[in-house]
Amino acid sequence: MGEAEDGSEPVVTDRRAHLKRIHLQARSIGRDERDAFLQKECGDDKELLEELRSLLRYGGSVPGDPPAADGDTEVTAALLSPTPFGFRDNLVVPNHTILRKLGEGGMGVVHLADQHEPVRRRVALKVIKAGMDTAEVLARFEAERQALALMSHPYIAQVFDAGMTAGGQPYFTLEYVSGVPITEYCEQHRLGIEQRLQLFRQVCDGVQHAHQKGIIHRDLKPSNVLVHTQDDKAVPKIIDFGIAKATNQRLADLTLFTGLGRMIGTPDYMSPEQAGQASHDIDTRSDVYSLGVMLYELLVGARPYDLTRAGYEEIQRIIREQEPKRPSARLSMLMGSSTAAPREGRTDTRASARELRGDLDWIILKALEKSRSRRYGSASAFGDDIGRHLNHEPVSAGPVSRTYRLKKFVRKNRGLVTATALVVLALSAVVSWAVVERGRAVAERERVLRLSDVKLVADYVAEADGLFPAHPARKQELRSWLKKASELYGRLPGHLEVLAEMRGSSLEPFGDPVDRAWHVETLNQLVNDLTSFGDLTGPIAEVRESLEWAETVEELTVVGAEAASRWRRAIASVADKNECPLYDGLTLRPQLGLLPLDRNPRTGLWEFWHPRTGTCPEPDEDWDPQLPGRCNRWRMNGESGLVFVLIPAGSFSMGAELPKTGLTCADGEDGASVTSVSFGSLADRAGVQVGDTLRSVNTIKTPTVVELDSILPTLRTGEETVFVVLRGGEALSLPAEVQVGVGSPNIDPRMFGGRAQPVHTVSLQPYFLSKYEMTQGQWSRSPAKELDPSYYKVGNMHAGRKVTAHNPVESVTWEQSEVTMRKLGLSLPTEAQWEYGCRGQTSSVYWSGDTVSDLNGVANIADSFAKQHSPTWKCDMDVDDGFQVHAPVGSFKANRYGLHDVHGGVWELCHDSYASYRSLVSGPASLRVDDAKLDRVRRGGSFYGPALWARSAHRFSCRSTQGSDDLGLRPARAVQE
Amino acid sequence: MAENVEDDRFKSVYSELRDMAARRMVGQPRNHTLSPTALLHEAYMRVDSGEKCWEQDRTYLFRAFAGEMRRTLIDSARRRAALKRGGDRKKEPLSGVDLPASRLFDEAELVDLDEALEALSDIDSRACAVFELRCFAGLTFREIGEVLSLSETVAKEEWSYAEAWVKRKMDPSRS
Repeated sequence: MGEAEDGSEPVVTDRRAHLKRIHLQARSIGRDERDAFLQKECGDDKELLEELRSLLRYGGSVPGDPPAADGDTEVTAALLSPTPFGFRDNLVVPNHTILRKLGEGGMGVVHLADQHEPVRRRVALKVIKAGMDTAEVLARFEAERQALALMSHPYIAQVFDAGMTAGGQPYFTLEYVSGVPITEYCEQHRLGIEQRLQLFRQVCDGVQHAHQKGIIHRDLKPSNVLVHTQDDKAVPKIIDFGIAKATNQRLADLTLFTGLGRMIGTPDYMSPEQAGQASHDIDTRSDVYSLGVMLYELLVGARPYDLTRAGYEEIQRIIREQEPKRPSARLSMLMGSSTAAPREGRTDTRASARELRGDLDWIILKALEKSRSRRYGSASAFGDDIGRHLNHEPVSAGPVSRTYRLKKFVRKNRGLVTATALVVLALSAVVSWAVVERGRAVAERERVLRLSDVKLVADYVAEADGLFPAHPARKQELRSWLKKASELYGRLPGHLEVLAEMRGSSLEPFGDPVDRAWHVETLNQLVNDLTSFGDLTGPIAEVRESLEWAETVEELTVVGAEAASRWRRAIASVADKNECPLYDGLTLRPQLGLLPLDRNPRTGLWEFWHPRTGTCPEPDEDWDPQLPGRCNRWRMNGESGLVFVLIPAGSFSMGAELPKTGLTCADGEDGASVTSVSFGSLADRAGVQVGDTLRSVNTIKTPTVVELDSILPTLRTGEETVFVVLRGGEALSLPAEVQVGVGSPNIDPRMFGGRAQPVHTVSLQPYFLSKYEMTQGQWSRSPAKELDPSYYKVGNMHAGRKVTAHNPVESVTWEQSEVTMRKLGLSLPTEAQWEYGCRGQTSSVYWSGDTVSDLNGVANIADSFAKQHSPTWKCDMDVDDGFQVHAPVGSFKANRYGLHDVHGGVWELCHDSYASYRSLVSGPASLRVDDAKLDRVRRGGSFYGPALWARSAHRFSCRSTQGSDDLGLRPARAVQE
Repeated sequence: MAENVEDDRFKSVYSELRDMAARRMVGQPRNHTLSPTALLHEAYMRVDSGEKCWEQDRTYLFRAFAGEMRRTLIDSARRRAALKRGGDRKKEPLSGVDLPASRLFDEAELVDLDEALEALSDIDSRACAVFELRCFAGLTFREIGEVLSLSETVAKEEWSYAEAWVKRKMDPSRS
């Protein structure tokens, strides 16, 4: 890199460096003091002073300066703000002009901005802090957008849009609201208790409106409720609806402690269900909880729990288990304690403990219930109860009732309380009450029992998940699960009946109306949950199918007469070293869930049918491995199941390296003096000898002892390298062709970067690897009941080719694939298993050869055909595969192991994380998983990528939660011993 | 070290990088586009093996990318300026790219910017390099410092100077 080349005298450079230093400093100095600073720095150097003055007329300001009117300087200010490496926060947002920073919160920084299109308006622009997956955030927002658009309420600030900054961070634009957080507003305006309650009711109204549109806020807190004065009235605006969901905020995410142990964001308003692990399971009542915390704070001046010094687990525990102190009790405590001295004006405006005792205590505690079903069923029920209190009507929340005690008992003893115990309890409760109460107590007992089904549904779903993969040994478990699940499902009509009754009748058999409201809501949820529990794709159907499979799989694939004879033949053949030399006398046991097809005469390897994923493929009578279109020995269709190849044990060289010249040199007088030439290397083939002096290699003159090998990375096979050497005073020109695989295996001249390096030896035990990429049909028949996520759907036409059900499934994520594989008793291959299978005993760049044209008839990549239909794709014109997007599996030739489409087609997911080979050479070679790392490996390239990506050794990463329309999988399976 | 070696190695990295860029920007129907810098980073991370030899390439790669972006932007500005010949060069923001360059300069100015940068590189190539990396590759000052082996402060000084110098050069009121 050149230094400043503006003159031969170093003095000039020094002077300019000096000038630059003063210039930058001067920019951060206010205009008034700037000149004095300049004069002091420049001393007698008038020329320097003038130059600086001149330049400073064109510079901008730096952060800290008041924002100037000049638009450019503002941009410059943004550009100059230092940002951490890798994440840019330079506020370049398409379509917006950033005006100034409004504030900074746990999730990100909010700026005031002008939007240019589609509407010119002033907006609040919230840039989400680095560390979130932008595509995911935007996708989630997209899913919510329609619902958000439906919201229209004076107390809700609208969310306009989401997008991505130039730095790649997600941002949201919201209606700009000039208000202060509700807590601050109440303090500033010294609102009395009644005004506070009135204001809070309005907030409840706003939240209720959103809930009716199906939007849950998930992050209600004072800083998200801004209040301003309008016509002498306090008007709240709730901001950020829909954003918490899009950014999937959870306690675990909030708990990224900074270096000082401070937490980013606040868990104070988070409901117990949000603090838990299964944070997706939240509903409108989570917002009710957050509202409860806010009201607590508004009336007491403190939040229910002090979480400032607690660690992550402690916070979780407190939120989920610790009962909050009664607001009135907390207030007396705070008033009494000297540390929490009342702030100015507090005594006049804030509630006294006496005012809170009773109604308000109960209202707040009801909103703060740990169990959702005991909270207010909705924000409006919460607000209405406050209204009742203000009107001096009896409130629905009340002191601990029998119902409450009973429920509390059940909650505390979930594991213990059985139906019988409940009956006993209810009866004993009854005994202690007047006989006239008896009927009510029985009714309440029945209610509790009824609603306990809510938990059962969740429990059973989790249990069902653990029953996979289907196995005969699990028959009993599956049956008993089905039995209890059917019983549970059988109660659905009863629930429906009661629900209809409760909705229809105006009778009050259940005591207070609010209690009734949550009861109806909970019951409604239960009915919904149970309905999907029992429908065609629900857990019952799934487990029933599993049971059927567990009952038949043994007969079908192992013990049945047909199966037994097939296995006898296969086992004998595999063990026979003459018939199957590659297996080297392997002793195979019958494999539950697989049925031997036959020994592939071309590969000498056995192939197996996997009946769980579909029908047995028919052999193609006209199979001709050399003929395109007839190169697949099985007639695959959308119904066909997976076909596995038993891959033999062995060792192979994994990875790839650049070609090497094979020379070592010492510095000589006229150039590098050759000290050794390795046998078979490029230099050896050219005829370079020890003692020669190297004058040039290709166009590089007189190389010193540098990395000679770095000359070769871009040479292709067949290209010539010319060594010019001095031998006995004579200059000789010695040419040699670069050949792949000569000297050492796994040479790839086009390899770059170190991810495929170093070449290392890996030994593998035998395993099963699918002959084809998993098809869309097979995926949709898998027990995961995942809808086929493929982007290119069955029946769609692409460049004159129809997508079929035996096209590969794509748009799957690594996580989905892992679940599906687990439920099928299969797995994703390890990366070593994949490459071993792909290479099929070759060490060339592709299994079919070393050049791109060797992929003709072998792989579906971005080729000249795709180019005709997608001119913007980068394509390898040496290949014409006849497909634009993915082709039906088995459309191209199989490799030495009989595997199709290892190159091209769709990317194939591997189990491993995307780690460096260097880190593993010492560890176990066959499996590398670093679960802390999200990046997983995909292999083999795709219809969407050039040949470069389809190479046997080429590694690519992907996020475990991200799919793409060219990302699929090739299942593997361990050999059971 | 010989230019050719650097050049060859760069080409192999750079061709993949451009493949990725093209794919990311135009191909994927459902992917949101990335900024060129994010792309460069991603590509760089992918090819970076954490080995020493790639550390050396880093400077070259980033500078070349910035240069390439500069040429691309300015060429397109030239073409459009040619279309609108007749002195009617309107001030229009740059479309399709989100780089500091497009925030600091509008399309009509880009052609002049090119000339100004040429002049700057004649008298101070380092300031010019910093300007390019900042403006056309969108690097932060710390990154620029790493790429050019400068301290962050020096990178800022260079930027501050280069920006003012270039703007002064482009100021039509100064003959």
